Amino acid sequence: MPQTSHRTGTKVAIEVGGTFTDLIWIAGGEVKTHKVPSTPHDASIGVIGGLSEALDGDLSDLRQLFHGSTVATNAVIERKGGRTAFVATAGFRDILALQRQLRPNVYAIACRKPEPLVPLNLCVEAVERVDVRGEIVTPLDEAALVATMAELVEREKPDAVAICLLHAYRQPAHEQRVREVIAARHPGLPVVISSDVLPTFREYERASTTAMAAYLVPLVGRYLARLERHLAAEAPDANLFVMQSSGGVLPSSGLDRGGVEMLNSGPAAGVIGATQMAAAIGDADVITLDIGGTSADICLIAKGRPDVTAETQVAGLPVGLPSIDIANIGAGGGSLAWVDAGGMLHVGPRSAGARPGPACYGHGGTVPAMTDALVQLGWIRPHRFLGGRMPLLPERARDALSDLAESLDQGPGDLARAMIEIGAANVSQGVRLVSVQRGHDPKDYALYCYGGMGPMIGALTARELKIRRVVIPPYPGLFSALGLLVADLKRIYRETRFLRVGDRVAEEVADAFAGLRAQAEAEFAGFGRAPGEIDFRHEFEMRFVGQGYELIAPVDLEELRTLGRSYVEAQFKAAHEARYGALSTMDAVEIVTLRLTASVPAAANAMDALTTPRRPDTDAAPIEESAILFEGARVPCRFAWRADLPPGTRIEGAAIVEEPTATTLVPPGWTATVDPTGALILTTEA
Amino acid sequence: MSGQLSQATFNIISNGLHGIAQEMGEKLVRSAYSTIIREARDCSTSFLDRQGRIIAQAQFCPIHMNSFGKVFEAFARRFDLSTIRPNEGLITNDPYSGAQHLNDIVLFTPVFFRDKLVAFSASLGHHIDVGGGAAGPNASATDVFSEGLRIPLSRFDVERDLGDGLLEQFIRINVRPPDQVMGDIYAQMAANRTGEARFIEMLERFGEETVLAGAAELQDYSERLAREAIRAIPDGVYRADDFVDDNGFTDEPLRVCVTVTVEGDGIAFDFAGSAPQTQGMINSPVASTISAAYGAMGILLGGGTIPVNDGLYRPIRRVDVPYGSFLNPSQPVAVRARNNACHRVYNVIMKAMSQVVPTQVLASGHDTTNAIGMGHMSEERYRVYMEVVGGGWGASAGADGADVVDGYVGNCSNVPVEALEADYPFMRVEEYALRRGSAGAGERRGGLGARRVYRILDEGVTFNSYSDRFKVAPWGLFGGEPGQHSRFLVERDGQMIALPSKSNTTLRKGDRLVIETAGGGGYGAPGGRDRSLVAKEIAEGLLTREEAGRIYGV
Repeated sequence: MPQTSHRTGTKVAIEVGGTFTDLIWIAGGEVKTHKVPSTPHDASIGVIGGLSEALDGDLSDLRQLFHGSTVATNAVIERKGGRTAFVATAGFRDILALQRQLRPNVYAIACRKPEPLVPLNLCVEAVERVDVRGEIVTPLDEAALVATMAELVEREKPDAVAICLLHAYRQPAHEQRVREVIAARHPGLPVVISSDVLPTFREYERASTTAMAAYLVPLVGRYLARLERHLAAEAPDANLFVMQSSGGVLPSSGLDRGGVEMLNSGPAAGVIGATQMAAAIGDADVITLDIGGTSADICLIAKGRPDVTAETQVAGLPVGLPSIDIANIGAGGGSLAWVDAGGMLHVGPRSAGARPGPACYGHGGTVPAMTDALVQLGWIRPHRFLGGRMPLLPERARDALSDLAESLDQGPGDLARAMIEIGAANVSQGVRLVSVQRGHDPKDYALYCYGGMGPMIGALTARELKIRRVVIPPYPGLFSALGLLVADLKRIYRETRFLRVGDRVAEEVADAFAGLRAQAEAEFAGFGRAPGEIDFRHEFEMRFVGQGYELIAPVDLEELRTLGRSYVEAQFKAAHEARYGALSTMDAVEIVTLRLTASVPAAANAMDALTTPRRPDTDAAPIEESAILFEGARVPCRFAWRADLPPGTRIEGAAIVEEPTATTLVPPGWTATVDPTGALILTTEA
Repeated sequence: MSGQLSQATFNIISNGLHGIAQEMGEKLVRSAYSTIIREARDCSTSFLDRQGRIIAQAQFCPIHMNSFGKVFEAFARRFDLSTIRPNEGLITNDPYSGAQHLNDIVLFTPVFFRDKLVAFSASLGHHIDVGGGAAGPNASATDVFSEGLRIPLSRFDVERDLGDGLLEQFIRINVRPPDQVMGDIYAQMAANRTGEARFIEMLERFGEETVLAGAAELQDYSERLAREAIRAIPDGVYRADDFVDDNGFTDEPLRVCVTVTVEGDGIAFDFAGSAPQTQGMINSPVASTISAAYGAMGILLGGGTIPVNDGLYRPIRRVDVPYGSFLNPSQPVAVRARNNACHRVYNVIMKAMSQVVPTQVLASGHDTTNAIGMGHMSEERYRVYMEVVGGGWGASAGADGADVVDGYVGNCSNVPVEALEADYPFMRVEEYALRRGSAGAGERRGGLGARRVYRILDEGVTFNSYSDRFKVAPWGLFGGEPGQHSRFLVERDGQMIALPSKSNTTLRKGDRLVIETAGGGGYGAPGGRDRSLVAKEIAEGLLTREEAGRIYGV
């Protein structure tokens, strides 16, 4: 199987991070990786350069480029998007500023709402009104619109326009007409309408999402276009696929022009990789733990499927796009220790970032970070960090720890131990968010740990949660990039209906699902996919009549047809009980939004090719016997180089397994076994 | 740090306890039925030790959260809580027994660990309706009985008294939308059960002794920080007053007056000089008054950096509220609109302390609960709408006041217009905007108020409201100007009819109901404002050029 690359051409995954761009691909049956610095001012330079280096300057054999990136997320966080205008229904042009009127800290003196992406001088109104049933109450005043837009374009020279009119999820005619009017008068000005981006109710959340989509067109849209052009010239047979927050990839041609679907897609790729890896190993219920320098991303996968929520946030602004349900905690290798005015020790969410980084990097950091604590305890060996490519300065770690420890009347070792305990507890609290708080007991799950720091903290977190199985996939530091290679082609289609569930429910939703399906089939035909290749998954976003939050209930069309109302109610009840516990009464329920997920699965053997056991590295070191500090005591510890360990190898803890992108801790009482897939599986009897 | 707890354990237990209170709150919001809780988040949760002292609270409404200790004291006086059993709960909404106003139903659930009472989980929900003389605030209420169903301090048995039992059936028959009210009570129960389950997990993980020591240390920790912050304030006696517009019946403003005494690491509040109790619903039960004062400590000392629990209150030597004043009325006067007085309690503490700690206080914001309610009876059902429309926040030394947020004692969200129109077909919102020109000018300006216009689409809609700051404007500090007053208008047949701040008004089909909320007061003289900010606000249409010239000299 590994030899297929010459027949099918090369598949490359590229993950553009804030600091580094990672590439991963298969050549000659072997997994290859490459790392280049990112080029934040124009990310396409780093990507194109990295590709060229990786493929020795010849891209002609490239067939598929899978792309994941923080470009969209960073554009929002750093406010580097386009100058965006916003058109609202008359009376509502301030909704981006009004938001939901909440104060995040009720006792703070200064209360600041997140800064909207569109300032008020770029917000205008269209005279029109549609009511909740989708009927037109006030027709669109086109003459007024033409004048408003002419004045706005002249005065503000926007790069893009977002349109969000009330109840457009129900009746998009006015938004579509506004777009036509603008296109006729201002050709070339990108226009994004809310009924395309997010046809669901709640005007602020929809407006925020639409504004963000338009905001990204100038920067991200141009970036993607540059990449497409480059590929067209250098790799004429290559297709560009982009990761979405929902965990599927889409051809770049199928994306919204600004790539709003790319927001928060980095962590999603890792979750998809873990989902596929777990399927290969045979774990159905998994919690993923992706810990990097500043934060930990955590996701629960039940019965082989991660939850997809209806909404996420970027820089405090809501984005109502279906997203893999990932919790984010400010805990990573760069998380800093600090003591507050009352004498309480904290770790994170403040982070040393990439610069200066932890004190042991020697770039001027003087506050102890998690990585410094790990060096102090001997769990990270300075000369083996990142496979020896970046020697650390242990004396700097000790100095930083000593300075802070003194103020607490402790030694540097005590402080390091406390930092690890707090860091692991913070991460466990994050795991509780996605498990215990949603009715799942983490001890029934396997913990999949990746990112540079996940394998180090994973088993400690597992101990707190009574989890007894920890899996470290191959290439943990590059695992998000690896996830790109195994993701399904996928898009989620939604329609808001507000449908009270009655005896005719099956007939009432049939048309809507058929409409969504036709839409999906037409779009996938454009991706070169026939209807027969597509898997469809049907879901309802439902609630009790009058409730404010929707639950997602899966729908089997056949059962819906035969059982109707009782089936829908039972599905809702099951979803409700799974999330919030037993129900006391069963009241009327309504379907708020219908959801259709269309996907073409990645090749069934995609993961196999990535998990073929590798031959040992030639420069590997033998297992060394040494010692580390663990919970206040000096304990003997074995140090192994991961690539030296053939499948079936067992190592009793305490042990440290090193590799180029991460370091795994096997605590005392745990055993690490090398799985045939190459994964390292840590188990405990305790 | 007490000897037996390590640094790490203390951190982990503190964060865990806060996490419990917050998770309880999210659980309540997510499982509630009414818009007022599920969308507007008018509810709170807290976790208390066995003695009823607050250990941790969630980020919801300060007026609720700082009251749990007081209402618990009332239960402890009334019942021998050492005999409470695991299947029991405590419930009340009685303003004369330590609760707030009748809509706020407080529920405590005892937490047992190995057959021993170890803690209480608590939740408070603002219920959309509790019966009474109007579908919403009853502006003509002359006593608490005309405001709805009073639930006395009660111990109940979950199995026996809910469902078909007396408590549930009694509540159901006395409220307009029984399914919503009981649905929300069950959501409160579920939130309390969540707190119980999480606390037990924590006890199992760390051991009872360690967790209880951690909880006690968390309170001590807050106390230490609070005492340190008070020591930094010069000793002295500081006074200020402010006014509630009127009682809804007569025109006289009602004075709220405070004397704050700072001595060493202790502080005392005396509200002598405040107006006597009065007709109508604007009286504040003493528990609300004290809760507002406690909450003001959260801002004044550390601006939210000190965890709010029983320890924060310990440096408060006394709170004297004269009995018979409208801040501590005798039974059975009406209290539904108590938040107006509570906001003034907070305002006068800020104003008094501005003399000595000018960077730790805020100018007055709109600081009113703009409770906007409508009721509509149809053959299908009785629909009751209630929303809190925010206004401008007060400016402070470091920041402009935020635009359109709830007043200090609350933290209610707005309701999406598209959700509202789906739930209440008798209205349509025609405008929801920042109210331009409403902010108090200053080096730091106050926040802008809101403007919201409802079109009434059916006959038989009643508008039931209470508000304030219609007559006494939100004041600025150190040369900052006051914000604009609030006002409610009905536009009918081309006429503008001004409504009072507290009323029950029958609306007609076709009416436009206009709500304009107050802006916040400014901080520092307008002349000192950064010119680039003035220019930005002109460009954004928040200031006219004429205003910029007149007010800021630009």
